Amino acid sequence: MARLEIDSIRLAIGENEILKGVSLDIAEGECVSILGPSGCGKTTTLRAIAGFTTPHTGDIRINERSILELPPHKRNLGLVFQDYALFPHMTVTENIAYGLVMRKASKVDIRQRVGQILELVQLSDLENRFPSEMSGGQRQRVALARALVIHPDVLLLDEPLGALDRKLRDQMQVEFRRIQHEVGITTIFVTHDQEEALSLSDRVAVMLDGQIQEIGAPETLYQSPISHDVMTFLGASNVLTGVIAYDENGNAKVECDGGLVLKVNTIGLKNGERKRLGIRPENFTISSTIDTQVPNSFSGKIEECIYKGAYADVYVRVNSGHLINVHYKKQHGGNNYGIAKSGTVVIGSTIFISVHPENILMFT
Amino acid sequence: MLGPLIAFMFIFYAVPFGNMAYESLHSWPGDDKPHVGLSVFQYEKTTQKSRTVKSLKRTFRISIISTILTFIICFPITLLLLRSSPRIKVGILLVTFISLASSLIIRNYGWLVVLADAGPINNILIWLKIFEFPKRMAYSEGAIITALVHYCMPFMILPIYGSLLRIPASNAEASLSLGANAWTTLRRVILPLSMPGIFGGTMLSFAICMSSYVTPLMLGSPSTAMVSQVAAEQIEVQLNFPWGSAIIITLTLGSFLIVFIYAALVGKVMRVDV
Amino acid sequence: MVFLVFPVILTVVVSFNGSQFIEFPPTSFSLDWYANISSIHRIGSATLISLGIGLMAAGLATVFAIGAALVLVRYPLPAKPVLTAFLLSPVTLPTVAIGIALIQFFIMLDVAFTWYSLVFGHIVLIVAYPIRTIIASLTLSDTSLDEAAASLGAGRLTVFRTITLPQLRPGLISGFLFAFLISFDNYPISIFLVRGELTTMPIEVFNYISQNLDPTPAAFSTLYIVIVSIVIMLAERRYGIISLAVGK
Repeated sequence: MARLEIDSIRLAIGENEILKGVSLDIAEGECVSILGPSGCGKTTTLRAIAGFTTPHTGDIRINERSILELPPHKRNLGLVFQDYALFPHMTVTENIAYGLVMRKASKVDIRQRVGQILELVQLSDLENRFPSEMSGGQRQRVALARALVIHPDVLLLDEPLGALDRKLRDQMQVEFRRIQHEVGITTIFVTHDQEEALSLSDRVAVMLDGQIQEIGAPETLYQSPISHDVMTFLGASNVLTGVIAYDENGNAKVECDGGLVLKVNTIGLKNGERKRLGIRPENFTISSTIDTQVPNSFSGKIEECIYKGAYADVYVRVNSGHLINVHYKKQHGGNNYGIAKSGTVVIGSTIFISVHPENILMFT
Repeated sequence: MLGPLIAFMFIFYAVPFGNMAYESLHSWPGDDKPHVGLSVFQYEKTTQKSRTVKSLKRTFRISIISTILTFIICFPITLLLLRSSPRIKVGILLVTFISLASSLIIRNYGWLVVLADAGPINNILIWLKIFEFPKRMAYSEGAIITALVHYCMPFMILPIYGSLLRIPASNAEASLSLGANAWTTLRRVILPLSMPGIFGGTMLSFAICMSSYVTPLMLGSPSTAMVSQVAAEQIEVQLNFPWGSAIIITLTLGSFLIVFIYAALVGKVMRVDV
Repeated sequence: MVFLVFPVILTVVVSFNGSQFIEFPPTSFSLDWYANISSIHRIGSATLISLGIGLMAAGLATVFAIGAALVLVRYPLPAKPVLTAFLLSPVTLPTVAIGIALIQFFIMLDVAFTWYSLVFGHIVLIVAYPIRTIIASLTLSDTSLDEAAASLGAGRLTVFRTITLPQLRPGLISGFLFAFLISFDNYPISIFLVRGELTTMPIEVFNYISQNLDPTPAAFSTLYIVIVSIVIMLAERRYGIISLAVGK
């Protein structure tokens, strides 16, 4: 159980500065993810913690003690690699026992702890198999077991669910959460997969271009991000720009191009200020008639519809000329708002979309 | 498409060998007890005459020593090769190839130059006061071993290098992260996983050494004759085709047998597919 | 690594030494030994013969190898591993064995000591090299390109000529080169198959070395090494043969 502090590390590989001042504090038992696109520096950060590269400024501390002077094999960290890196010439048991053998544990101790961890990851009957004889999901669990059995201070994972197919990934998400909570180990993992980050972490750190843009709980980051870049990176969003204006009643609104006017929440807005707006597609309500009670109601023509299974991605051209992306979920019975009962959408038909002011995010 | 080559090889390879084997079962006019028809007399002679027996033992001994020495020298080189920059890599490989492509006679001649009485090694040794007079180093078993090791280096480096390339870097990193230092990682992870290449390299080097002819011919003396030389002598000088054939066939089959046994042993012990 | 090039470097230096004996460090500078190369018995004709045999053998071997490699890689054949092993096996035998077997065979057929017998003898040994490099090239090549060409209307021979062959170029060049060098340098097979006027370069150089102590062979070696190095570096720059031989 340990606290991990990454303190303003800068790291260059050759001429390129990959990490441009990265700081992150992780509390005991917390599971934090670094989320970012390829090349943003997240894997480099992980490797710096593990000791395979060294930052030229900054510090990395575990329980208030710097680990930068320690070579990788003395850092007592548990690593799960993207390709699992199981030793092909050793059985599951031998793989898992490797770290314990390095720590000179007794044979009895090894057998016991390996047995326990195999039970934890539910692989007890595969102890004498070789990696080549196992499926991807099983191999991943072995990699996890091997990293956990040594009781490391921190668990590091590189794209934990990346190599698994859809179904397996959903299963493993639940598994992973369970194991992490049961063991209660401080965990940090890096991923480019938003779903992985949002579903598995206590907090998410979004990294773009060598720097951490924002850190927060998954819901906070998704629903109310502070940074425009983070908002566009996470999930889908409709992006609009406009100018703040106050109407007769003192309510704020944003005037966008083409005459689109949105009523927004009044919180410290200056008249005439230019703002960027973001609205998530799933926050729109769809109706067949205009409802004057609901603010921000517009009519538009359906231009495109892409069926995604659980919902449909519908693109609506509103009168101002903007193309708005909304999510349509099939309703049970009732009026399907000009959309056929079977759930398919009629392109060209007119519908009304509305969004509540509190779901309109604003950025400078 | 394949036909012409198969036919060619059949005529000029399979048949001559069959013929040679057939010939080896015959007797030679100069034999003690000439006989008519087929017999294994020539093979018995091979296992009885001290010249051939000594030569077989000597050939085996020299081959084993050379192979082991080559491995000890080449494995670190290969590890180094793995870590060096692309430019150095190509440079080393280029030099390896050029040395491979240089005539064997020229390379062995080079060794004669190096080991000559007035050559650099002797001069250094005298300068270091280790010897007073130049030591005769050429035309000895040591010279043969030195030249063989030198010759086998590319054949050892390339397969091992290929094997090392196939080990994912993450394996070594995983070993380090679990607490093993570099040396332990080498011993427990890298070495076992590079066995296919090690096996290939050692097997190849051993076979080359067993079959060597020009090298012992140039760098050895009559008392260091290896089996290929003995067989050639019988054919060229004595015109004893049956015995010469038998000797060379014995060497060939013996080499193959040893390689087979080696493969089986390695496969069992290392639990890796070779 | 220095070990690898040590003898070569030394030989080059010695070739310029003025002294009558092989010694290092050299005591004087002289180009005499280069002039003396011609005194190596029959070196001129021997080198030409080696050249001719090498080109012919390597050429034929490469042509043979193309057909063989294509079949081995692209067509399902029941006895493929056995056939492949058979064709590549000469490299695993003592070269002397091939020489001994062949001379007896040729004597039996009464064609011994002819130029062609040497060529064919060399082919047996060297054909393994083009086969290996061409197979490597083939496995790297893209059959979907052949199929694309065919779908656009190219007949089998045209596909081969315009699509397959260019992709094989590295394998062809490196295979031919290796085959040639092995043939040019070969002693253990040639020594049994030559007689009188029919002789090869390695044989004559070897004879000189065993009879003389002067550094003339050093001069010859230097020339040889320089020429070979240039050829290999040209081939590598143009065709990248080394990476091919290292394999994947």
